[in-house]
Amino acid sequence: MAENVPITLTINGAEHSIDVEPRLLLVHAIRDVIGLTGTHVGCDTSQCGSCTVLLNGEAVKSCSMLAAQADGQEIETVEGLAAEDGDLHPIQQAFAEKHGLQCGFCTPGMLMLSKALLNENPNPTRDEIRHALAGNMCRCTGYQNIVLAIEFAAEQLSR
Amino acid sequence: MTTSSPPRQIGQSPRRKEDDRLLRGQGAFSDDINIPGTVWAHFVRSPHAHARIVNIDSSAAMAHPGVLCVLTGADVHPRYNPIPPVLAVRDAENRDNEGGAPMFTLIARDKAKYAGEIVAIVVAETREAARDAADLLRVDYEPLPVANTPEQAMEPGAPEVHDGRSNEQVRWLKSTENVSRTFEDSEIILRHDFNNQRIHAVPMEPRAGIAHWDPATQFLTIWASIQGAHELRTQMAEVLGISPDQIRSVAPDVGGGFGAKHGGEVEYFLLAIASMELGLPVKWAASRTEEFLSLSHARGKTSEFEIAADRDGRVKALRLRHTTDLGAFPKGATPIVAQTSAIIATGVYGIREAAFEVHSVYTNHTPEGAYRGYGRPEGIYLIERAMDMLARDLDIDPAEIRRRNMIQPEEFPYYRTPGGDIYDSGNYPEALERALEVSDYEGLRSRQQEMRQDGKYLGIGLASWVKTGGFGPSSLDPSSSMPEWARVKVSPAGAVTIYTGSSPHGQGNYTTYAQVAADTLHVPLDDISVTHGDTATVTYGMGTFASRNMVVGGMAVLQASQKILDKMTRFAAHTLSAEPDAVAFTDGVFAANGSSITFREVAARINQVLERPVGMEMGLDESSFYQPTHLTFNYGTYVAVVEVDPETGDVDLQQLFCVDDQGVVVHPVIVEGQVHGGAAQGIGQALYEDIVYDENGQLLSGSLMDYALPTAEMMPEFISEFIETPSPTNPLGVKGMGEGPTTGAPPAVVNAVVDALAPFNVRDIAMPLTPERVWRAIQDAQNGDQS
Repeated sequence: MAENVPITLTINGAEHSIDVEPRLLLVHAIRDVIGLTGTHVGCDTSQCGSCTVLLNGEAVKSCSMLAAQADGQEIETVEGLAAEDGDLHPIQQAFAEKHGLQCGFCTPGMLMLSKALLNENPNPTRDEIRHALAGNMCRCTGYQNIVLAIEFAAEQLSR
Repeated sequence: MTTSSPPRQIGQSPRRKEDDRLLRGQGAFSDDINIPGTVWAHFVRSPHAHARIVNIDSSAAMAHPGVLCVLTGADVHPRYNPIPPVLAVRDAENRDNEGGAPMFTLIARDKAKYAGEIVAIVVAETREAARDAADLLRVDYEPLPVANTPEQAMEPGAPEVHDGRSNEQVRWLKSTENVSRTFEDSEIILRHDFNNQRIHAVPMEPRAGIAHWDPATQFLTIWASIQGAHELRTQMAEVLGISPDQIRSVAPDVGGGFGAKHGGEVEYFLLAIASMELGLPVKWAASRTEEFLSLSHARGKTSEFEIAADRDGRVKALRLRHTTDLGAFPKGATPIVAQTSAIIATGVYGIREAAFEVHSVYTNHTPEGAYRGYGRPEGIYLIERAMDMLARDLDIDPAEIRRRNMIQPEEFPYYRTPGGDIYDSGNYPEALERALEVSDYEGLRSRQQEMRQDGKYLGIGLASWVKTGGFGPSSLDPSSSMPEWARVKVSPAGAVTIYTGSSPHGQGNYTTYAQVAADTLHVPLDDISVTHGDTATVTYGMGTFASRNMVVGGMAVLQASQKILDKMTRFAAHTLSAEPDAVAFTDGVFAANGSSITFREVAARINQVLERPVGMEMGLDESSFYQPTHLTFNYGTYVAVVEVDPETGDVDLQQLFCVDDQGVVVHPVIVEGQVHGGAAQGIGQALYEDIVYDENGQLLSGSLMDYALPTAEMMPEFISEFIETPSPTNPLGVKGMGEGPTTGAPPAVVNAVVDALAPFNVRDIAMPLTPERVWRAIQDAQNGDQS
């Protein structure tokens, strides 16, 4: 077994210096080592997107990269979305407002993907939203209310 | 005295109480639960569909650093019991296996019966060490011939899945008296073979669990991703041979279930056994491929279907022969799924003569289990496809043929079908007419004609469906009482806590149960909380399945709330020096004789001994069982609009219009969300999803790379409308609604695609309607080969 490697991850603004096995996936570092369990594992093959986090502002699937690859980089997870005073982020509010979640398992990945999408394209069309969601699966909602939630969040954020 | 009534919560759409936590990433799913000292399990699964286990050598695995134990069938089976089936098949007029169903073994011992069956469990200090050690386990297999389809498994000399037993678990026959004569006398007989392919529920949360046996207290705690904590406790006690009182079973946040997480799963029992062996908390989180290999599949049925009609398209009789693929074991309630599926095949129509023949067959496949619809979608698919075929044969519009055959509103309540179902209430023609109106059916037909002039193929598909809800006693199992329990407690500060045995996993019952209690107790939703899914806090529970949460669980909440109100009214009457009958409860205030006392005052003062009437116990804490007496039947008509590209076979599903009658709608936004999600799963079956085995019984669609779970671009626009005929079976008037959309969507979509391809003479395409299948169907029809 290979030697552990020391890495530093900045997650939601907090620095974490940890020793990990070289093969440890980023999602397991976030969940099992750091203890932030809002990021979920749904498929292991990078289809479902439940593990989506932001790496330097871009949406990545944290089950498909090694923790060591994220050394020295900025990560944002669902736990970092709400404001410091506890107010939900407009994207979170939009998901509540439009019933964009049912069981809530895919939701953290959906929220992070939405944030990356709206950073890049602040006023996406419904077709663009659906296209952007191609890598994030939901089995509860049939996606319609997720699309409406992202559209609503875009409106709120561009006010 | 206040005279205004509080705004009724039922029928409103308040924000869901559960969302805040889930949106913050603060859900507690099973894999999120960690106990100090937890060790990890990995299950070693058979790579063969059918093989003798000649030898298992665990020495290298045991020698791996961090490994704590390796358990095989030889270790487990002498000491622990197999899993008993949940439901027995009744009324089997001709049953081969009079000895009953074979037990679901926890772990393969002498032979493996499907690819994915567990042959060993490896426990180590870390998840990684357990997986590494599993690779070192040496299992010698002797592959056996495979029973790979139910048809093949029924042939003489077929490989026996369970040695010494027929592969045909059940042969079940039911018929009305004049089926043959009606067929002989009929002008039109339509016959077709249909396939409902095997699919998989794919809840986004893979199963996970953590079992902790405390040797000091002889007590087991298990957290598991399941639909019913109490059912797991009951089964766990039987398997482990301990008392249910030694077990706390918890279903924390559950990331979707859809039926597949109903009932105990072997993995959870094995976690508990490993924990008992080691005295340590043992955890497991399934990979997605493990889910495809071992979490229930569903639907797999082939059906020979015949209807007899007159030239006006009035259907007089049907005959159905279902052959269903049980997989290797009878899991949970599956032994009766094929029967429920058969008897619903008369659908929303007044067909009086019907003969059903059901063959449920063991194969070397992953066991089938419950999945959203529980057999009903397969039966409705048959009649709804056949209605369209009949319409085309007789040159009658698909809407008109449905209109001519529907059960009429005056035939309710309690219409008895030839299969024995008793439909509670409804207005089927109204749902049809409303769907035609909402979708602008006439306009779509005109557009279809115009587009055909331009070489474009628009298709319009109808499906009128009916689906059971509120699982309780049924004609198939009248003794299956299936009650539900609720407790309602009011604190001295006036806060209300609801305890329910029907735990939600996405359905929104934190909010909707609170709405039910709020309407009785006039308490703001913010003052009501819902507790569920933990046998330590919830005394009784049946769980969540068969569209029963509101019908059965909600009724228990209503009854317990009413008991609270009764006691508060008696207290108020005492305080106000009135008879209880003279006390009015309005806007949260009890009033009589010109004076009044608020809900909160009663909640506080009922704890004071000098304030209570003689004989009244202190506190406000009531519980109630609700025993359903009938099933409920929700129904609707769906209209699918597709455009098919005949060059590529690509289907563009543009819109799905859904008109549903779910009885009284408690929370319209949540119910509409259930329509979207349920219909989306039905669309998945119609167009995309398929569990595929190769000729050796190997699962080929074992990951989300291979199994086409729909993504956002694959879904249409949903347009949802409701009509309401309250169910007479329960005072809430609700019918349950989670599964109807999954029943209505597949035939609507397939009818639409076949309708689009009418100019090519395509008569049928087997699900899923992939571009290749659609393209081939067009080619075959053009070449004169009728499918």
